[in-house]
Amino acid sequence: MNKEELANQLRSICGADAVITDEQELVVYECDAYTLQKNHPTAVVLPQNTEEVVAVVRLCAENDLPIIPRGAGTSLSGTVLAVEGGVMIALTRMNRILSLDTRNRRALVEAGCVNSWITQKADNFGLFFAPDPSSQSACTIGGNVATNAGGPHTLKNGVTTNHILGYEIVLPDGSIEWLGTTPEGGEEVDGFDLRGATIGCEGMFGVITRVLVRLTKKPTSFKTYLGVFDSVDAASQTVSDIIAAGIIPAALEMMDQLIIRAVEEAYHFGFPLDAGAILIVELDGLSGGVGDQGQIVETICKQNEAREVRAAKDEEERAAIWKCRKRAFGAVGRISPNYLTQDGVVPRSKVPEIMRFIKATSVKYNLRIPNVFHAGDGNIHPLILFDERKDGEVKQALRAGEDILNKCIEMGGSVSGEHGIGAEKIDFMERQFSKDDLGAMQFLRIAFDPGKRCNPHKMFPGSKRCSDFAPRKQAAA
Amino acid sequence: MIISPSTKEELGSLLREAKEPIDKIDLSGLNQLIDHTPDDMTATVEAGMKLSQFQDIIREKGQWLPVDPPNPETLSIGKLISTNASGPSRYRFGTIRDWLIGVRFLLADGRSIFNGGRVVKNVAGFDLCKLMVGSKGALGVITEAIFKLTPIAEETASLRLPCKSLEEASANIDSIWNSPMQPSVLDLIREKGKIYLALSFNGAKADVESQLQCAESIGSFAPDESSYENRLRKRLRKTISVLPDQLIPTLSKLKDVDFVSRAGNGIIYVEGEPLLHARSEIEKRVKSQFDPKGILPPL
Repeated sequence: MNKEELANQLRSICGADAVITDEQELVVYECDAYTLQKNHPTAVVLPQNTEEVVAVVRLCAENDLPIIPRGAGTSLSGTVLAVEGGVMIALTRMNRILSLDTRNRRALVEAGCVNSWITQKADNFGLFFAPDPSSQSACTIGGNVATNAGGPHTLKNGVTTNHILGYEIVLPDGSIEWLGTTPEGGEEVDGFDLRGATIGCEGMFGVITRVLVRLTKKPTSFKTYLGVFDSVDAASQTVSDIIAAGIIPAALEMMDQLIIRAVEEAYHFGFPLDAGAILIVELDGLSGGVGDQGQIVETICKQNEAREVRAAKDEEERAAIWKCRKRAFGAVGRISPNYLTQDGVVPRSKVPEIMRFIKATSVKYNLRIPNVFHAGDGNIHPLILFDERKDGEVKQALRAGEDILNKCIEMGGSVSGEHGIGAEKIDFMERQFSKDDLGAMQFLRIAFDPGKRCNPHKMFPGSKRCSDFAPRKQAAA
Repeated sequence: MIISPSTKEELGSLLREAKEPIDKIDLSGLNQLIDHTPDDMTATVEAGMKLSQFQDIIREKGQWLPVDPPNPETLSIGKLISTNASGPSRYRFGTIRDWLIGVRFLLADGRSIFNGGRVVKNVAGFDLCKLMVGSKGALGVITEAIFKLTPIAEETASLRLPCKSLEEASANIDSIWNSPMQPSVLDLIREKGKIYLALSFNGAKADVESQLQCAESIGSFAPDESSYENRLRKRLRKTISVLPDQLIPTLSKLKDVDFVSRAGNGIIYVEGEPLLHARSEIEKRVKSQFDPKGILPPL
């Protein structure tokens, strides 16, 4: 089937305004926030309901075409890259909140529903949807499920998989399955936990169309501290001491000097420019415990020679702190033409060691590497700054990133805490897992997609790359 | 056929050589703690260790694995995972699926598979940890598990409130549900005709105290030392799962039988055999990928 025939058939399923094949318009869909590899899908289709998704998926099955499910495209690892073309199924028009059941604390939403819309709607009832990736004002629930998205507040509340009850997925053969808890059903489901096993599948098991999410009761009390330290080491020690004291903050985030400067320049919050590191410690719960634990946190910060411990005085100031934190990546654009971000994880007691390694890597490659990350989870986000116009800097940046991820594996960690493997980190999978480990993952994949047609060439060694793969630049969300 | 290997290697060769389905695998020989790093709040343990022994070891460092299924003295780590066993604290802490971060298991052909890791956040590859939870041993033999842990709370208090009827219990549950209280346990039990609510608070001392005060405004709670969970769930083997707001209507239809129920989760345990549902096509395909010869137990 040629492209024109394909476009016509897709139009007959979803309507003329729901199919994109014009090369100019396809540019939007050539990559996600990982931009080192780009390729146009053969066509993009924007279905309005599950029936249309099924018809599109069947058409692709009959014609042996790859399908690439896509949400808002905010992923950071080339997860939605159309490596060899194929039909990209964008869920952005299926974005409704179908029901909000406040008594049973759950919401049924379409896959294209934006993450933050759920909390906006649930807030009136004292409820919220816990996973809060920094891109939450744009990213979709379907994408959150596909990547098992995290965020700053996962330390206490867990990641996406801990908050998804069930969902509807259209398998690559066009059949519809509901995995996990059904909208009318109880939470306990007999049989294999296929809901859990497919969360984080990076779109390789089918097209998620509707999702039943768990809502959480909003804490009645918050306390958000900014601890200002002279060094990353002192801030890292503070993280360990807080955990050792038996306190699990809702969030425990670190920003180092370079990122503080970038953020301050962009948002003028009032961070001290000469600070070595800033910790954001947020406690939530009931007012008594939050107050008591807050005092302990302050004491621990001071014992580690915090220069200053500032508590957000009201909700507005708390919101301002989080705005700075969540937009930190964006602020980096002001101090460097390009950057490459990594997402490794180490056991949390090894945070000081990996930070020292990152510093040494920065010196070794003569590249600046600011850090803003989930210190409480051991999930680092070094931002390797480079200028693609300078000779060899792209390669140097890639090497620096590789060194850091290899070190994470060596320290008993993982190459990705929340961004995913996608097209970007395929080569690391063989370093972190044995052939048999990867083979067992493929068993699961084949059960869902025997033809390996759904989001192909991701995650597994041996996948093809885009023909124009050339290390150029990396923008990020 | 019953096998009882004392090492992982022996288990591997027994599986490789197996020609007929294996009915029972006794892993009590694989019962060592491999690692507990309190600073990381993670621990690695062999599947044959009993849950209570594991809890005893990590308690020494002020931590626990926050699941409390019945009879932890006889429940192995492997079985905890493969049956997704849970107890009253599930309301606050979820089930073992929320705490398992890494797993090692042997495939039916004896090959050793590792998934997940020692870090609390990890999206490298598919999440086979979740697949193993509740899989009843159908996909592989779990030999080792890595858990994230949580600190033992400063204070814990367990309470019981007798209720005259299900209607009264229902009103009390609604009051608790809509209050600022965040109990770790919210159970409704009927034992020999007597109905009572069981409530636990678990957290900072100030929070437990403020919640105890709050509870007083609802009814005359008394301390609860009854261990109803261990006593009753041995025979209450059938699970009914409904929406939390359907709990009381469902219980009302049960006549006068004994039950233990998780009011916050909508889960009811009553006498009877566990219900088995028809397997979906996708479940059958998963099973045949992992265990093509049908050596391991059916799902």
